[in-house]
Formats: sequence, C-alpha cells, structure tokens
Amino acid sequence: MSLYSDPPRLESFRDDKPTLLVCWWITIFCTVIILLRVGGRFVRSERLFVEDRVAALALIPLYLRMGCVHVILIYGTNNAQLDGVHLSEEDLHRKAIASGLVLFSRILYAAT
Amino acid sequence: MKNTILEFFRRLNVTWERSYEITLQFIRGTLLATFIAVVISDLAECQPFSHYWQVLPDPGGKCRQGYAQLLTLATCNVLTDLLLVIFPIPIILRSGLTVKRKTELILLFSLSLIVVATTLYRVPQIIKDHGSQRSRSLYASVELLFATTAANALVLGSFVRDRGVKKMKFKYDSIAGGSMDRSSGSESRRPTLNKHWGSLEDLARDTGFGIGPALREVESPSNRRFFMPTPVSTMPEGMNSWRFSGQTQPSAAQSHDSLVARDPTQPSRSDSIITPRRVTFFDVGGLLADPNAVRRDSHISNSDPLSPNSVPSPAVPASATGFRRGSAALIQDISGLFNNSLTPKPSIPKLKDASDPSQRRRPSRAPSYAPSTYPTPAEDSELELRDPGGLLSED
Repeated sequence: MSLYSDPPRLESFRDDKPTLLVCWWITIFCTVIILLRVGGRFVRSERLFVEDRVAALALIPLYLRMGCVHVILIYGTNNAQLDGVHLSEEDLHRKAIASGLVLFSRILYAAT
Repeated sequence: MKNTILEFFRRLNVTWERSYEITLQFIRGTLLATFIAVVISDLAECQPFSHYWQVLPDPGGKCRQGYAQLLTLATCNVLTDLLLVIFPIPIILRSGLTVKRKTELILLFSLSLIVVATTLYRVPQIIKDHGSQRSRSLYASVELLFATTAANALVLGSFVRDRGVKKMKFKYDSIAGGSMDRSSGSESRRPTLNKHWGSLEDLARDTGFGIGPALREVESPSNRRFFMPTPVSTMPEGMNSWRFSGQTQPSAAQSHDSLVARDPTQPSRSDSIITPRRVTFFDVGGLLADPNAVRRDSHISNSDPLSPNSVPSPAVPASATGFRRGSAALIQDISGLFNNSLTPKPSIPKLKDASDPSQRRRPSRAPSYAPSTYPTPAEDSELELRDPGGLLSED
C-alpha cells in the first residue's frame, strides 16, 4: 500500500522536547480560553448554559489527551526505525505502552 | 468543541422554525457519527489488535502509523466544520441586521475555516513525515488551539463588546424609580447610564461583588471617625442628630432593610460608595471652610425644601432602602438630575438662613435619601435631586 511508508527514523526524547513544550503551551492556552469563556459567562449572567458546560467538559479530554501525549512523546512509539538499534527491554516495554496510549489519545482528540 | 458551537445555535433557535431544529438534529447526529467513525477507524485499522503495541517485529505500516484514523478524522473534521460554518449563514442573512454586522458575524463563524485549513495542511505534512508522532502531536495541538479559539470567539467577543445575555440588573420599578420624575424618558437617560457603566466600580458592582467585609469594616469606622469631628468642631447639635440617626434609629426601626444595611457582611456596594461621597462633602463644607464650598453648601440648603423640617433622623433608614437598591437606582437618580438641571428651575423657596451652619449641614445629607422611600410630590423630588447633581457637575 502506497499510503503507508517506512517508519521515520528513531528519535530520542531530546528531539521531541520542543514539541512537548508547544503541546503543553497550547493546552494551557486552550484552558485559559475556555476558563475565560465560562468564567465570563458566569460573571455576566450568573448562570451557565449548556454550551458552557460542554466547553468546560471539553477540558477533561483535553487534559487526558495531553497526559497521553506527554507519555507518548517521552517514551516514543513503535512507529520508528528500529533496525540495527539496540533497545533495552524496558525501552521496548515503554514503546509498547506509548503505542497503546496513542490509540487512547486519538480517541480523546476526537472527543475534544 | 463543535458541540459547543452547536449548543450555542440551539440556544438561538428558541422561537424559530422547525426546519432549524431538524437541521440541528442532523448536525448533531453527524457529529456523533463522525466520532464513532473516528473511534472505529482508530481501533480497527490494525487487525490483530495487539499489533498496535507490538514493537520489535515491525507490525507493518497499518499498525504503526494509524493513517486510517488520521484521514478519517481529518475528513470528518473538515466536513463538520464546514457544516457549522454554512449552517448559520442563511439565518444571519435572513435576520434584520445591518450589512456590517452580518459580515462581522459571518466572519466570526468562519473562524472554523482556520481549523479546516489547519487540518488540510497537517495531513500531507504528517504523511510526508512518515507519520512521526512528533509532528502528529504538534499539529494536532495546533489544530486544537484553533478549534478552541473558534468555538469560544463568539462568546468572548460578546463579552468584549459588552453584549449578550446579562444577568438581571436591578429592579427599575423600585420606589426610588417610581418617585422620580420619569418624564425625561429612558432614551435621554441612556447615555448617562452608559457613561457610568464603564467604570471599574460599576463593573464590580454589577457582577454582584462588593468589597470584602473586612475591607468594608475597616473603611466604615474610618469614615465615621472622619466625619464625626466635623460636627464636634463646629456645632455639637449636628453631631447629636447625626448620631441619633446613625445608631439608634436603625435599631428602633422595624424595617427589615435598615437592619440589613447594618449587616457588614451584606454585599451592598452602594453603601460604601455613598459614604465616601458624603464624607468628602462634609469635609469640604466644614473642616476646610473653603469659601467656595461653603457657598455651594448654602446654595444647597437654600434649594432644599426639606431643610425647614430638619428631621434627618427618619430619613436615614430611608437612605439604606433607597440606595441599597443598587447602582441602577443611583445612576437613574443622577441622570435624572442632569436632565432636570437642563429644564428651567422652579422657584427655589428661600426657607433657611444660610449663615447658620448647623442647619446648613444636616439637610445636605438628607436630600439624597428622601426621594427613595418617601414618595414626595414631584416638585419636591426634583428639588432634592438637583442638589447632588449640582455637586457632581462641579466636581
């Protein structure tokens, strides 16, 4: 299948660090926006509409996802070129966990 | 996020036609369907499920890269975002807004198009990157940020423009409002109201916050200390009367409001607003003995019809009821004053000798309260109301 390509080369966590940082920043920005919205609505009308509750609820998958992404980026996934690279058993285990978390985070992303 | 926008639409449609409702249901169904589709594509792409986390023997691209989920998600996102952008447009166009406002609204709703653009951009990027998790997380986060912004821009924009649903403000059909001369009409009053609304104090008051009880308690004794010496230094009479009104009268009064007014925990911001104004007024009149201020003072006592009565004590609890009704009543009063000052003044009865300081001082406190509880005749209230107005304008 032409769509699927070779895995990208293995990268250490060091390379992923900026990504992780940006992800966290964006998450915090989103939180601020949502809190502003909900807080502002509450201050102005002293009651929350359904949409505000939904927006506030969106924080939950947002943060769950961010937690997943954090672990994923630290551990790395199985989508990497592993030929000729010696990985310890623990690394493998970690990558397995992270790959599983990828699934979860994708679902959470859709939910957000 | 999209559900948020959708719920916003749902709130809009209270009185609208049925097709709107049907469309809404349709979009909601679409959203749910896309979510399910994404989950399925996420979980079903790689057939032996455990291969998702199989690392060493390469499980193959299907299990590694999850493109199916990516593509499904992207397609669905683009689809639903476009739906959400297109859906309100006919409603906006049909509404009776100005063209400028319409374009504004459509642009606001079109913020979702940024999300669409991001999605369309990130898919080829990720595929080019061999689906590396790094770029995937990064772009997903960026998209999330845009989506959040787009979903909340409407509401936040309404906050910024000071529109949208607000809580019920203060009751306008209060006694103070009723006793006021309403001939000026709300149209002419509105500018004043808006002018006053901007201040931070008003903002704080309208949100229902008062200053903290601790703060207020600190403030009010100092206030009292501040203006008690004034009567003492000039005339003990006035002080006695003030004391009487402040301490014994509320306890004797049966009215619930006066009791509440003395409760420090009650968040009645207006009390603390009024007090400093009173204090400065006293200060100017008595302590500093500024000739200007004295003249102003005497003018007020002259124009005040209540001064012959010189019964401030019953008027004080009235102040509590009147002004605790909130900023709206206060502002209405003030605006009414401004309006009245434009009209030719009725003949002011020269009832009191202005040289007597004791009589000069007390009525100056009284006038602001009297209109609130005692529905005086229209002319009376007009006269009383003009006094603080004159003060304010000179400030």
